[in-house]
Amino acid sequence: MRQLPVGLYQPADSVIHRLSGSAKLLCMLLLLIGVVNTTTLPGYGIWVLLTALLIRLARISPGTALGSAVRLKWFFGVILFMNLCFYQPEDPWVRWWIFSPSYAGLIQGIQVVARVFLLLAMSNVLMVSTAPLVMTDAMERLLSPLRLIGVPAGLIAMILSVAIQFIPTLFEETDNIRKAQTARGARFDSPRLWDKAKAVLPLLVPVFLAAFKRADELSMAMEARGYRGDTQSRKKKYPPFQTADWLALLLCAAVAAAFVMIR
Amino acid sequence: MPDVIRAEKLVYSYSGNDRRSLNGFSLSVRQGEFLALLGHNGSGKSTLARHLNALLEVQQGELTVAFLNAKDPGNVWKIRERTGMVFQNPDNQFVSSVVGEDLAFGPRNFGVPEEEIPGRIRRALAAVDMSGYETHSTHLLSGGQKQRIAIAGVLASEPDILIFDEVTSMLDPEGRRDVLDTVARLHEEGKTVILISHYIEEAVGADRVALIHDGQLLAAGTPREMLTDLDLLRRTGLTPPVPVRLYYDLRSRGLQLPFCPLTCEELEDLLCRLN
Ligand SMILES: Nc1ncnc2c1ncn2[C@@H]1O[C@H](COP(=O)(O)OP(=O)(O)OP(=O)(O)O)[C@@H](O)[C@H]1O
Ligand SMILES: [Mg+2]
Repeated sequence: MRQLPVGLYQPADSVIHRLSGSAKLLCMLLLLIGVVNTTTLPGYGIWVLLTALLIRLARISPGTALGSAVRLKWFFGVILFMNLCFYQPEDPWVRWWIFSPSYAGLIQGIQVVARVFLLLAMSNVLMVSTAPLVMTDAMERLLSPLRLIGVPAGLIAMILSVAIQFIPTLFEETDNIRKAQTARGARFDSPRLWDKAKAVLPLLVPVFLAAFKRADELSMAMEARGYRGDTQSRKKKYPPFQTADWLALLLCAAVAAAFVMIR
Repeated sequence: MPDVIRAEKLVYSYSGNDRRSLNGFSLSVRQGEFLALLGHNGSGKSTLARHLNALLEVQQGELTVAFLNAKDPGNVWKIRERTGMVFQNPDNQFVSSVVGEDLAFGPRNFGVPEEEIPGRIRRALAAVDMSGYETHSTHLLSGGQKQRIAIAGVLASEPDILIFDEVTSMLDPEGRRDVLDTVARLHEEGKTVILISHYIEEAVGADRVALIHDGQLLAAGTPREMLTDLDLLRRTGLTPPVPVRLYYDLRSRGLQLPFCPLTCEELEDLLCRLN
């Protein structure tokens, strides 16, 4: 069996799975506000516990929840390094060439990494516990006030959702094309940057062409199955929030408010 | 049986393309019929299919689908509900990576009441022999399974007419056989089936075969009439089935054979009789 792409919905019966999509999306936004307002070490400790609790409640494996965040370790390394060396050049430990590492920079770097890591883990819980079209409806619902100023909420939500779901297919395709071109002598693993670039450029063209073709075919298939975009004559009825949804919102709002106020 | 599809002198050219992709195409399809439409690349098969599902507007000529006039813009959604279309690439037809959600897409668009949808999904999955796959991820299915789910996605809207546009061309032999078996079964259950292909062998089991060339109907008739006529097939740009080719080769070398076999089974029969 192929490895399941991280961030893909996994059906299960859990408290988190049963929450309505729009409640979950709102909760996510509230938690996001809480995380970016956290400035103390104990604060981050609490977030780690909360995230672990969410992963537990959603009954997903830690590997699934943290996979995409772990895969970004190089990115995190660069962020940490940049912050460490360039954040506060006025009061560095040492000065060497253009680098001036400082205590403030180290703290800032750790904070940014911790925030991005937490947000990735929490959004993974959201994606893994919410079926794609439920997510589409949730986005549409939250965006629907914007309809008043002429924003096609339904279309935007559908485009986002389809685009996200195409990511695994596009990766697979890129991989296939890469293999085909390696077989014909392209040098992706050459240590020389120029050789690498020469190998990658011809890869991008077919990948983009294929993506356009895909989009074209998918739009035709959707139309054939009766999709009418935002002009859908029938008014969509969203399911009303249940007690659990209100409770989740209340909890998340309380957590967010607490962190904002402590700050 | 009345004609469920009637196309008369359809002409169509895509904008920015001088060539007529359909050039006076006429054809009638009876209700419950299994029609195979054969033609080489670029002969206009897909263009015709898109007309039958009101994905393209009629530019010239007459077209009724499911007894509805396709030229009336008010009929577009009714026609799309009555005809289901399955496309070539199994990866480009899913709106949701969860099978059950994807199957619900069509019925929801056509305004089927929410409480009716689970039953429809169950029946559609049973019809393609994939019961119990509601919560599976489409990314983890084989090509043939994906294509059968795509068929189920169309069946969930309960159409009368099914159009398959080269649905097997990206599948391995096993996936191809499964999909073709499903198509045959749906026909037996009473659906009108139009199977578009350029694999000539897929047309053998059809009630009728239509040959399209340069946007025109070249001929239509029983599989035996169409697929054993070397001259006709050459003009369509198709290679005859292997048994037919063998029959003519042997005959040109002076071997007298009682009949022209169409399938491998018939060929076996023939060879046994020679013995
Ligand atoms: N979107 C388009 N824009 C312009 N021309 C097109 C378009 N789609 C098809 N054509 C042209 O119309 C003609 C018929 O194409 P069509 O796709 O109907 O053929 P087909 O029989 O389905 O071929 P294939 O076996 O390759 O699927 C071709 O010459 C093609 O170049
Ligand atoms: Mg085609």
